[in-house]
Amino acid sequence: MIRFLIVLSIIFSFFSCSSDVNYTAMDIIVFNNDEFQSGKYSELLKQLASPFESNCNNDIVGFDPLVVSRKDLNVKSKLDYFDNPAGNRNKVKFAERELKEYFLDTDVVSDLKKKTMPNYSFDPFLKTLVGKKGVFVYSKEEASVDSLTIYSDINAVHTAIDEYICSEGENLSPKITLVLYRKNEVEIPVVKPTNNNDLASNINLIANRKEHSSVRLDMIDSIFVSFFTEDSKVLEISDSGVPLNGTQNGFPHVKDWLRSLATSRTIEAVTVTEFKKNATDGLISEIHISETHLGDAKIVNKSKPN
Amino acid sequence: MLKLLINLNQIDVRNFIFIIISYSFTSFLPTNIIAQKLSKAQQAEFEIKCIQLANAFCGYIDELTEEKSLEEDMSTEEFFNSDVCQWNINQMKSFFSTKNLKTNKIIGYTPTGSPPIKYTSIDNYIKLLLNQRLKYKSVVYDFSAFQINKLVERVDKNGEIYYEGKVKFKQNFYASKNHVGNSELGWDVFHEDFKSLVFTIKQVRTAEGRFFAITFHKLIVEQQLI
Repeated sequence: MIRFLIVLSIIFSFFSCSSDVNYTAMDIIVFNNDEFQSGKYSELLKQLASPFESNCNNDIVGFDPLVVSRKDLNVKSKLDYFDNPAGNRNKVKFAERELKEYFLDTDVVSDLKKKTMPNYSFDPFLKTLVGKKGVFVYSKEEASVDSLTIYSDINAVHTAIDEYICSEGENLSPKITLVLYRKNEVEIPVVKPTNNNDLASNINLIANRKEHSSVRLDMIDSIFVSFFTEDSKVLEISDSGVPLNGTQNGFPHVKDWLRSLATSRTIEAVTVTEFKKNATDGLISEIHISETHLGDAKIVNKSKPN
Repeated sequence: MLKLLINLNQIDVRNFIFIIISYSFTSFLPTNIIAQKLSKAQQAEFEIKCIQLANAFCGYIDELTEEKSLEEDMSTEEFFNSDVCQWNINQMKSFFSTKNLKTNKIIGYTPTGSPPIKYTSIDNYIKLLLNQRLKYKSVVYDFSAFQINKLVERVDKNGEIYYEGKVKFKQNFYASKNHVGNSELGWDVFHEDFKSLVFTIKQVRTAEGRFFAITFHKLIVEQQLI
């Protein structure tokens, strides 16, 4: 009986201790990964994840960093990185280690190759945050966008979050979003054509599935202007010489076709078989191509009788 | 024509009238008499092209549901009006002829996973999907299982030969309430879509000449929306 009471008191004290800290879900949105690679952001996130004492009701406030996303690359972390089976006690250390591991180890390219998001620029994103509750923006540089406050000091972030928690009381949103970014460093690099004289190689740069779709889309304008007339058409010609891509409205415009190449999940290669040039400006008004897609051979086999 | 005029002096009036009548008749022959047929090799090439197009078409749908799952803060309406959504929808619409778009009943779906099929517009179908899948953080599709019905040769009311076919394929749909990204681990919902795109291949005349055009008519999704 005494042993039972001792065990019961241990269990009771354990739950009492664990209830001292009220954890709140927090999204962390990051716009630049340089700091992660140098390890500075993990230290910053450690500070953010550390429980602190609230000024308004003497509670200990802690944050559970459940979701970390990189808006510049449109990548989010996986929840299981933060699903700590040991409970809350090691949460801070766990968050520090796992965040760093995630941003260093994640195969970003494999996550990105299917995306068709256009360039994700920071200013429009900031505007979507204006007026939203529970969103705090941290930046290394002091800046102000519209009526949105951007904090440059982590203690100031803690103070702002604390004031928010105190003012909201029972109406507190269960999720707090913290945005980290470094100003003017969120542009997605644009890959420019390497050889303006080689039409096929430039088109295949756009068709390169291993590259992010947004990067491929960015290449279209420069390649199009360099090689094609404004109303140029594309004909996909089969081995037997029949056009495969006709529509009720004629053949597709080259620019539309290039865009479809940039977003294709199956394109493997494009071969240029023929083109017609304007005598005046030397630009191409009609191009004949053939496409190879993933699974084409498999489809041919399937269409044969068994 | 020049040869015809030279010969005029050497023929009598009856022959002249016969030549004129014959010339006039052959000039205004109805187009169906010279309609081309597809060879076996050409049919096989068009079948492959239709599968590629079906893949691309459904890729736009999946891209939208996937992008929406990453934009948790945006409402369905906000996302629907965004540039990325509208661009994908316009690409999808480019698959259909203007005539079909005007009927506004292009995509058929089964709300409960079984017939009867309801038909709706691309816009409404996308809104439906975005609403249904909002609660999932990530989706992954497997396009691997394709099947095409052989093209069937038909003749329309004007005597024109055309070809009708249907691309049928199964999509494996994996979704997760928790995981984001292309992880192979932790997918907690498994679901199958059966889709078919009905299309025809027909000769058309435009300012650019006469050629074969692939026209999609409707997409049927045998799917229980979740």
